Amino acid sequence: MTDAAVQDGFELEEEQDLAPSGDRRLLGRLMRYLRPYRGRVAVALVLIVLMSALGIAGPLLVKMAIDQALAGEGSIQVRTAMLERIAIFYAAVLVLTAAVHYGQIMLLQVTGQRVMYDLRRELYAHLLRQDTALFDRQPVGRLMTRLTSDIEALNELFTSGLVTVVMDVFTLLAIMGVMVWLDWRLALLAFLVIPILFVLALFFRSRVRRAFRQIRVRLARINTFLQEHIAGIAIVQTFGRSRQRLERFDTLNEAHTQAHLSTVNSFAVFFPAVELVSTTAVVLLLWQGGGWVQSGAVSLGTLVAFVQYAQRFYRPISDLSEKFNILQGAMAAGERIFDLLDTQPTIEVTATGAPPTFERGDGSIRFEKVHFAYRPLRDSGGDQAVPVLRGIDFEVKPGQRIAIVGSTGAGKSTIISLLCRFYDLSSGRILVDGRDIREWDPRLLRRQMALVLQDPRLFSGTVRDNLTLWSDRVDPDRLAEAVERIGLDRIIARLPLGLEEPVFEGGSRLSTGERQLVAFARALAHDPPILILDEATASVDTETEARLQQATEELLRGRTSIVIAHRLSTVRNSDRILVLHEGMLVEDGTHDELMAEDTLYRRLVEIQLRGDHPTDPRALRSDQKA
Amino acid sequence: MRISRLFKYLRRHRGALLLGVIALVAADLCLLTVPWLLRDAIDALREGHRSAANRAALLMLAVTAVGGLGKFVMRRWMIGASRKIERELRHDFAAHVFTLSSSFFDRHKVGDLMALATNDLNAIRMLLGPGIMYVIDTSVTLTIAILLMIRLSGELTIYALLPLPLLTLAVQQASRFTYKRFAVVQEQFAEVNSLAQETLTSIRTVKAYAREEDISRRFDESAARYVDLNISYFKVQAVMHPMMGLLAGLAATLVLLLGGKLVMAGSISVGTLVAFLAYVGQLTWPTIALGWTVNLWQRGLASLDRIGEIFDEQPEVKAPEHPVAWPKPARRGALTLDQVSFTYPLGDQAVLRDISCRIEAGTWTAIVGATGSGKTTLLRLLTRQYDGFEGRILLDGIDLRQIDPADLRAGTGFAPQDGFLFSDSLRQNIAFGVDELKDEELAELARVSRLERDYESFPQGWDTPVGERGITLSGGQKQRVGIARALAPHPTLLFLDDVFSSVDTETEAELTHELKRAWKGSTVVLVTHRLLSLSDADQILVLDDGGLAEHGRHDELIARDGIYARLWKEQSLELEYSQRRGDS
Repeated sequence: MTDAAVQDGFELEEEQDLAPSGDRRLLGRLMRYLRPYRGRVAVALVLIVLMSALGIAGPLLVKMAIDQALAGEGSIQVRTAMLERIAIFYAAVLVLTAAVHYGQIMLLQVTGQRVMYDLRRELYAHLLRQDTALFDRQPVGRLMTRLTSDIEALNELFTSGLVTVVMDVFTLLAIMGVMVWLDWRLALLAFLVIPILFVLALFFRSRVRRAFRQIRVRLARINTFLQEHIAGIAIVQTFGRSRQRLERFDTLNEAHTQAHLSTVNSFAVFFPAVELVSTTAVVLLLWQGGGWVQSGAVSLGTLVAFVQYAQRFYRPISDLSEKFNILQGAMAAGERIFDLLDTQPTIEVTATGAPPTFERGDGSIRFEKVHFAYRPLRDSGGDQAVPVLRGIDFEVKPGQRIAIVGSTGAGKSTIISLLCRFYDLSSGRILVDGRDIREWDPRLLRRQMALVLQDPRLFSGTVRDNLTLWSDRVDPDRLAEAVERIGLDRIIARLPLGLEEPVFEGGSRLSTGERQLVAFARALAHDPPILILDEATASVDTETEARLQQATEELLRGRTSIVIAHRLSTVRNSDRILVLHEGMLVEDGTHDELMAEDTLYRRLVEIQLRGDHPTDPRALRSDQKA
Repeated sequence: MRISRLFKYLRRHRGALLLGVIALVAADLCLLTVPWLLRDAIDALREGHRSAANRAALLMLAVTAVGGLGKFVMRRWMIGASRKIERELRHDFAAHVFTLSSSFFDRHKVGDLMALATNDLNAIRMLLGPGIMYVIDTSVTLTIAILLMIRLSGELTIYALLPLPLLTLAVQQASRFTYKRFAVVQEQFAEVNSLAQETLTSIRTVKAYAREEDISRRFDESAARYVDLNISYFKVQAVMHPMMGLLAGLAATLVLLLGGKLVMAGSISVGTLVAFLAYVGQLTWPTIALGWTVNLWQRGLASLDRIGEIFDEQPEVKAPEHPVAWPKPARRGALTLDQVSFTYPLGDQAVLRDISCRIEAGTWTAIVGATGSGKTTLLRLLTRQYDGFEGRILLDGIDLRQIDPADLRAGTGFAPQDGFLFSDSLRQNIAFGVDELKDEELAELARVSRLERDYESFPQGWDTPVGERGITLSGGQKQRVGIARALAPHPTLLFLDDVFSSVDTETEAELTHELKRAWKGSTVVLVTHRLLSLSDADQILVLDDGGLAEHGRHDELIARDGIYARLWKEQSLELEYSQRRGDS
């Protein structure tokens, strides 16, 4: 249970500090993803600028209304007509603003979504291309975080971040521009507070920047702790340490809250301060500008417009500061995604582009002096690379049925992993169809074989999907034939939707044995020249096993096959039996040959097939069969 | 009501919350007088009273300062309280989860629980902080602003508020749509997610069938569908946001047009018109925020429901009502199993069937059997991780389920198969089960568990961090740290679950020897696959398919010539074979 739990795990790493140059490099790399959409982005930017421009129209129109209609010269009718024109124009501006806003949101969101899609697609394809060893090292949960939340965080950068920065900067510039245009003296007066606003914003930024990073790091610590303790709850409880561990948790929790409270304080000071500064601008305008209005140097409408503009000053500045956190988080996510994208596979490098056409091979296999050691997961003081296979030499002729036997850890499964080229050899070579497997396109190599593993996992989809694995290479007739020959048809007949019956994650609706039959039928439907069974009948109950045995016979007929089995009763019909011991091939021959001499195999058989053992019906059955 | 779950937290912080609410109301009141003062200033200027205008301006500054102070107090205490409540909720969540039993964790994945502790907790926090704040802010601002506007001009107020019902309607419709579409988006997201998760988990199958392209394409399709749905979700937003801006703007236009006419008719002053425009501006944001607030509340309440379900879970393994003490001097460590059968709460097949046996105090008992025969499950029952078994388990004659849990934990030690270390230092991991571990004790534990030989390879000695789940240690080292950890509290009963699987046989022999010497008198129950080291075990229990197939001493079982004998011969044959090859 715990291993599965860790697989689903939820991973959070502490982030590293990014150097400012790193920020820029990262941004540059992110921008590359925008390139295919540069047209859209350009239009969106134009719309954003347009919106900033339209946004400043309000106070300007109010000024016109006051100066020309309300306090202006002329008859009531003329001035009313003027006021109506202004109002209609204002309404038109508003409708235009709404339209532009809509266009801008759609363009940016659609672009953001597409960029996310591109990135997610690239990352997923990249993951599938990785060497199997990567999946030994990285928990699936962590990879999932990259594919989901990290990518969503990046989207924020494109949409929210871009709009905020561009829009706020332009709004600020537009307001300043229109102020100067209206009256440069009042404008200078209003600008007096801008430096103060910037100093405030900078100060605030430096304070929250640190605090936000602290928050993220501390939250990651809390979550790591919690995840670890939930996964290891049995230890916590059997040692009776719930209370003590909870105290530890509380200190982490407290540290996190403290970091938050410090940002709460920063925000609590910053927002009112900005508002106070912009009110100061208003007061300055009224105070000094009031005099100018009285002397007739400035119109009342202009003063009112200035007051309204001054009140809008602070929005962009406080916005910029607030969005900062989102942007920072997105940068950290981007860093993690690119780290993963920069991991290059060594085996799968050739598996790019369209695969060359498949040619069915004859199914011959040859191992020549194969040595192999798994690389240690991490530099860990003690562990060196432990040799798993030591000089394996054997040949399988087309159509031969080979069994590999040996105890746990003897290296049986490793032979298969190497044959499928999940890992590369330390030395020696493996030939399939007389060709070194390193010269094959890994995909074509693997299409020469079908693999059935001990733990049959199904994918979410229909039964048919699970048989074809979404390939159009499997034609329906062959599929139907495979289903029948394996004996899966009886099970399918029982399902309401037959082949189209959906199965769920992990295949919970079907029993282990039934899932294994699906895996068998899948292998048969693909009709490869080579078939590999890795303990394929080990984890099912005895009843199902009989059916699987039959299915196995069907599966193996007329193909090169390699069968790994711990139970010796299942291998005696093989053309040859290879006995593996501590990574070495110690015996090789037919059942009869090996039984004729004093071999490890014979002695194992004698122990296992002592026939009359009541608690091991498998042994009984295979004797009857023989 | 579901929100009543939060009452106890709210009550705890009622002082801060009340202060925050008062400050917020005060701040809103202050800030709402700014347009009023603006009116005074402008009208004064128009009429040529500059000093009156200046006075109004200064008053504006003062009012903003007081309002700012109010907002500061509100944020500091109210938002601060929401952060503190978040901390308390997180604490309570962890504390509660820590009490739940293994059967709960079989039903709930770690990832799901973590999502609750992060996303859902955050949604609740948003409800408590900004959620409550905006509700108050919006209602106060709306009420006061409208009252002030009516004071200024009743007629103009009606014009200004004309688009308001429309706005409310728009917000309502939009949030309904948002909610529906968001649910669809989330479903598709889950599909993308599980597709990726499944295929990455079964990467070998994918690769073995060379199905990277097909699966990739399938993923692309699913991800594309997700994007399409997301875009349709954003369409609502793309309409909603500009629409709100438009409606708010139209209110301003109406005020300008109709108010302008009123000014020209002489029924209101220019200052009043300007103040009106300012009020309409101030009303815009709270009304728009309404939609967001509704969303915040919906999400928060949904999360509250989800977390509430966890809080409602009761531990399966409960402390007995009348616990029987199992004090240190009386601990002997004798176990009696009487017809014990067990099926996992989610399982459909019995994992243990009718097991009866006796484990004498101070003896060394091994449990052997094939994978899946029920060995680990039996240990889980003996360490009381599951309670729902049939039959009885007696410890020193007391029903296991009646023993005071504190005594039980103190008297038993447990080392799991994979070590399961926490990402602390070696020292902290070994001292996990005790409050304090002296250096001499640590040295003794290291000697017994044969960790002292590895000491050289630990860069920071006992303070070396072991990494996530002990990733920097080898499998054998992890297991031995796990043994040392189990020994630290000096248990009377020691359960070892296959702790030698990654330890070489020589070290195993040394370790066993040390254990027997140093922990003489303790009862040891050991699950193992290595039969060759069991020749002097006091008792061997052989499980087969959940039943107790054989038990006895090594010699007896060999003489019986059953499962144990067969397994033992197999292993000794392999050993012999290795040695023979080594000699030749």
